[in-house]
Amino acid sequence: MVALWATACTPQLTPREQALALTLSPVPGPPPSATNAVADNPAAAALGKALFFDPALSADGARSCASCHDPAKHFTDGQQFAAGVGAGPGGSRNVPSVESAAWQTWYFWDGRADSAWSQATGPIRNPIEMNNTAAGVRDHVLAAYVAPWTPVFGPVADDPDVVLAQVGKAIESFERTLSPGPARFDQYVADLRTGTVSTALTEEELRGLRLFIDSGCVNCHNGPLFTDHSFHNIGVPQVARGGLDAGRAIGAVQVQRDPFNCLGAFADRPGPAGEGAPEPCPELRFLDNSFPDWPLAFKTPSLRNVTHTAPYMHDGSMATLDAVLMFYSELPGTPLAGHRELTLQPLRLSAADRADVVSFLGTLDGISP
Amino acid sequence: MLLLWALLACDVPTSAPAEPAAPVAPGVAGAAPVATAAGRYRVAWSADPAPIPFNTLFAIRTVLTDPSGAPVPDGVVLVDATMPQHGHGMPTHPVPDPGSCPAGVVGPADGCVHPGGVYRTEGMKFHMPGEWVLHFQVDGPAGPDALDVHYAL
Ligand code: HEC
Ligand code: HEC
Ligand SMILES: [Cu+2]
Repeated sequence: MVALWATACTPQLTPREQALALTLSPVPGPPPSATNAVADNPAAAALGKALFFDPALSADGARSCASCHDPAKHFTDGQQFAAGVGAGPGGSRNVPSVESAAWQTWYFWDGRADSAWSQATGPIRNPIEMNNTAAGVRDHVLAAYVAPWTPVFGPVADDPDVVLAQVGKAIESFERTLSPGPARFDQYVADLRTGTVSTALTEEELRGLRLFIDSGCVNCHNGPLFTDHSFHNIGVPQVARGGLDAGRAIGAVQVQRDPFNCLGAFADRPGPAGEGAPEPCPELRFLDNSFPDWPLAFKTPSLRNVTHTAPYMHDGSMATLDAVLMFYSELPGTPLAGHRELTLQPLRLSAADRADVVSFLGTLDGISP
Repeated sequence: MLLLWALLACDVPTSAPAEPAAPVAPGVAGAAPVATAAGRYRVAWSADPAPIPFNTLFAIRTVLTDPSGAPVPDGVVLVDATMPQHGHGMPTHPVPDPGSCPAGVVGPADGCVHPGGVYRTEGMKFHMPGEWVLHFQVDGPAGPDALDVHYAL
């Protein structure tokens, strides 16, 4: 009788669910960086690591990238909003992880940067983050980094913007050594692929996986990083400081104007050039900055290690994963601008169903080596 | 009794919708030429890469002919796409190739030619799964015409 119970109770994935589960794993190696010639240079990664943890990169010497992107918290800070410089005001966005930076197409919640290196030039100059200038960064490189710098980039350039972009490129190189790590879910999919009976997931987690697929979460949280790298207005009731946050509607315009973007003067072209070579920067060139669905759209976040990166959403307004599932269950309110993605319907999940999905999300935790 | 309970308890999660119905319009390869709405031309199209990838930039290659199948090299083909059930289009601006143009002319424009009636539109992106409609707007010696093609992703 007990044996029978066990067989009957193992939630079987339907063929469609299996096919979709296979698309969610494994995480492939990082795609090439199209505009960073030192992206995979180990000396650049070592330099970038030092820069990432160096508080002297900020104007008052008090804050490094790691102050907000703490490795012990999967490169987040556990706060709703990051604190400001000194006693100044903080930002109005929640700190995302940088573990999967190498796999992203657009950076920041609004995608206003189109490479990891150009992203890194942002916080360094942001008055409420590190509050530095390109000239200040160049001075610091000359004072503290000439020895590790020269083998990677040659002599420190005269143009501070070139140096700032290179600092970004070294940091990107370091970020490319990070990864969300293989998870129990990856073991499950590996077993599925080989037809092995898998014990990697519990029944509760398997039910959660099925709910995740059947409830349409995979429409947006898809691929091995559990993101479509795109932007959606899911109608998070915004609590952001400083009024309405328009998200992608502004980010799409900003990235096209950013001098550090893929088409700008600071982008390397390591790929083949000349006649017949593919034109660079297709994502940026074809981007429609007036797409009607951009208002209040934010980047679909990766869900790997998500149990460790509370609070959630671009404004950090949801404290727990159950709160997130409650939100998808009820879809309260209407967005203050634009309209909620039409594919989203209230899921009306029971407390048990929500717990199952949350337990499934826990299977995306990287297993420490 | 216990067995029955177990079976019930382990059924498909109750609040999950059943397997979705088969897509309304299957993704078609588009290889065979199709007459445009007013019958002025025939359009054969293919995606590059094919089949149309999810959430990835792709191009549409169009071969434009007259109803008898003779290539129309001196026309214009504009391709766009929308998701009718979601009321939106693509998050990109697709761009048609200019063709071979006389010096000083920036195509697509009068005087530019597309040898063999082959036109290419870059920068298409289907960023959501579901039903898409490809819109071909065609112009040429026989006048303007159009073609809509349903495509399920
Ligand atoms: C004061 C806190 C703070 C500091 C310091 C900081 N960041 Fe951030 N970081 C944030 C916040 C907040 C966001 C999201 C901002 C937004 O979307 O507008 C972010 C976004 C990012 C992202 C985008 C991730 C994604 O998936 O879109 C990356 C990568 C990143 N930071 C790297 C860095 C690097 C590198 C540095 C140092 C040069 C740095 N950050 C310094 C708070 C900080
Ligand atoms: C229409 C696309 C879409 C669908 C469907 C969708 N999500 Fe999301 N998800 C997003 C976007 C976009 C955000 C960020 C929104 C924001 O911050 O305003 C997000 C945020 C989240 C977050 C917060 C992660 C973080 O780091 O802050 C979690 C967890 C999450 N979604 C889980 C789910 C689950 C579970 C489902 C299915 C019940 C689901 N999502 C369905 C697009 C989607
Ligand atoms: Cu849509």
